[in-house]
Amino acid sequence: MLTSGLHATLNSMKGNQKQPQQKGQAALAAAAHELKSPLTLVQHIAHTLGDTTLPLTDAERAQYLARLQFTSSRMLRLVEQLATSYRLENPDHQLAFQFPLEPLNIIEVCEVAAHELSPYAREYGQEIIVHRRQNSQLVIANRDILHDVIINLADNALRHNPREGHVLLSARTRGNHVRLSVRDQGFGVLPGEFAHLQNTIGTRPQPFSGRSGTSGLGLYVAGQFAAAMGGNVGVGRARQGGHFFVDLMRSKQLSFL
Amino acid sequence: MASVIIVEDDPWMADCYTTWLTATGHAVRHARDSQGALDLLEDLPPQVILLDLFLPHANATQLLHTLQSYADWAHIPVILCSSALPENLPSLEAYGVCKIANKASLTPKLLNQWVGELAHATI
Repeated sequence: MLTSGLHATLNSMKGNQKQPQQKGQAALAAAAHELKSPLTLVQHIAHTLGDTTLPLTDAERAQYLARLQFTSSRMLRLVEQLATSYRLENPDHQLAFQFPLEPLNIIEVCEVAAHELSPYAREYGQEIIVHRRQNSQLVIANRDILHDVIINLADNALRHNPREGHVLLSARTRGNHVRLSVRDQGFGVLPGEFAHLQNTIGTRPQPFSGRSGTSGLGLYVAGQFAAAMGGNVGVGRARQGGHFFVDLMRSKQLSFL
Repeated sequence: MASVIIVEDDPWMADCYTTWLTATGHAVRHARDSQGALDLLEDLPPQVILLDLFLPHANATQLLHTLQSYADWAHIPVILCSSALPENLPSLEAYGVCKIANKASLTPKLLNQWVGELAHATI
């Protein structure tokens, strides 16, 4: 496990950023928008299930309940990530925490995330595919934080994919880094739009012209979490569809993982 | 009973509206974006359109402008809704928008009431 000193060093490599207060306000505005839509959906589903004049079959009722559970989980996950995000941005805060970094098989973490999202992928009529290579690809990361990054990218892909689409998770080595790519068949995001997300977050409800209904907060948090592990999130090239990636430091440790 | 096109990119939200409206006998079709809505309109113009403000690519205002460009679509009443209504939203009556709603205020009863009123007014 790497020391907390390395953690502090990695944290200091984030580069020039907005003042903490400005960023906090922007994140707050983005969180408010990001939570409005799912909360409205929860309310609508509650109306649907609670209105006895609506003729729902047992299967339809079960489906609405499953959507209620997933939407609630998604909101809880966002709130927890915001708390983590706050702690990362405020290392001197009394609630600041240190998270250990270790060599991890990135594909195994992907498979856990894919398994978690699979029931909901089916709800969207989609599939999550994890491409496993022969050789393990080890990265230096924190398991919980990396899991959140992957969940955010894959969830974003699911939400903007057309029905019958699939989300593809694949990893490959690029020099000293491992790149995990998350590809979908929805509208792509322009690299310029993503590059400006740090400045546009919280200032507009639709930072990506092709992907509505998102404030970009999940991607913003994913980028922040990746940076805390010495990596970064970006938009990759794709002939069609969306392509987000996260680059993380490659572990050169021999492993039986 | 009315024919309605729901233009909403969130399929789960659209399913709620579809359930609410079909329960009272309205005929509902759903499009996830502006182009899909235009395809449905070409097949058969509806009596009412329920339109989400924020859509992928071409947003609602562009669709509203297109609707006004065609004589047989310009009269279709529109219910515009969003989870995040801008504070300075201009008047869109000239674009056929008859109701503007924060989605959080929509209920099955209210939506059916509005669709019934607007469909009746176009007869």
